[in-house]
Amino acid sequence: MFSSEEWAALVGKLRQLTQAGKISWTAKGDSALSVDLGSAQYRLSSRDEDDQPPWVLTVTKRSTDWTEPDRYVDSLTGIYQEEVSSIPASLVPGLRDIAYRMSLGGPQLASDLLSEMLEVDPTEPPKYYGDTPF
Amino acid sequence: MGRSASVRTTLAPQPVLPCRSVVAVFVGLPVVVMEIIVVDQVSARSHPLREVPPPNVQVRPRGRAVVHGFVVLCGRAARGSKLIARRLAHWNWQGHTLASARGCRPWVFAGGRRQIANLSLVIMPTTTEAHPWWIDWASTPGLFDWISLLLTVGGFVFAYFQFRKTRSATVEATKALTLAQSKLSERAVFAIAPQLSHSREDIQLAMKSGNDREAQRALVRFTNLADEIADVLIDSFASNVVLAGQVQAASARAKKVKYTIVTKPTTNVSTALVPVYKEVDAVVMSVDKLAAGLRNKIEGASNV
Repeated sequence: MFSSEEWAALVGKLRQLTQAGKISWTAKGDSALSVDLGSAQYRLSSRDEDDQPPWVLTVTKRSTDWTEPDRYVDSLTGIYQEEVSSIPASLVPGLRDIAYRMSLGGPQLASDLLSEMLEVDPTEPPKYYGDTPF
Repeated sequence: MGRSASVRTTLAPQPVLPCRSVVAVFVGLPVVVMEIIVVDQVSARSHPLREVPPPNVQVRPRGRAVVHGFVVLCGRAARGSKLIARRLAHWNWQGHTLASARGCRPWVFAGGRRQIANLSLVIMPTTTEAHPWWIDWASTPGLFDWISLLLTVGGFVFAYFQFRKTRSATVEATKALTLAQSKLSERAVFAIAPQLSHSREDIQLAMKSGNDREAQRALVRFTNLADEIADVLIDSFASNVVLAGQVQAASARAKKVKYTIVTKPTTNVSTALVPVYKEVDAVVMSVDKLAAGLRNKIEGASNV
């Protein structure tokens, strides 16, 4: 349904919003992620339902009236290659990586984990031999 | 009627309450006078033990309701009430011992032994000891009592046999369910085994063509089938743990190879599929063997 340019614009904007933390993806099941944005729902899930890539971006138009069902719009199966806007499917794996990271806490995740470890032992970790300048 | 027939003699060894003695004298004396008048001497005379019973002892039951009635034994006790009481234990009245004839354990009143021993003894059934209110030892069971006893016993017998039937039915049902479960699992194996063969052929075709999409599809299909039959094996064929592990390992490897093919498009599909094909082939042969064994199994027999 969407043209290649439309897909590229949509995926790029989604990725920008995700990276900025302006939309929050919710984990659904073991590997799927989903976000509601405006009148649409975006869903990143495994194509083969086996929690493995390739990842599929599915766009669903959400209905405002409860008598109307949600409408499937289009989906884009990611391919693993160099990311180019002319091939929007190549943008999906990167989007999925960022969305997964942001759904787990994003940039806060590592610092949160580190602070939990510092609660156990607040001392500095030892330096490594390669780090020492001679 | 053989009921409890011991006459409880409370005469000499046990202390006699004076108030009871007084009551016995003042209540018993007029009664005794009356009894002497109306007493029937025939029964005492015609009794086979008439040589033995105490002299001039007469029995006068008052009513059939033993709980509320009492017995007056009257007469002259020439040698003291203790002796009379001792004899009362063996004394019969109309073929029964005194106590059994009354259906109770009488209290022997020998109030004022010296004074009234020559006149009377009052034997009263007690409502407190001999006739507790919660059970009726004394009354004769009637027809309906016997019928209800029979019905009760019959009901217990019936309930026992019902219980046995229920228990055996439960055992049978458990057997049938176990058998049905094993049949269902066998059918699952029969259904999955040929599909596994087909997925092996798909993998073989993908190896020949080198098409990554075909390879992904064949691997996903094999993974799903292998996971399913591994669950069946673990749940229902406990003796095939090794095969289940083999199937799960092949499934995991197929998943990994599919991941590699998807995420690294430059992978040589034919080369990547070789190791997983070996495992798939081994799994398919083992499952086929299992299915053949199950297919030829005779119902209920093992290792046929």
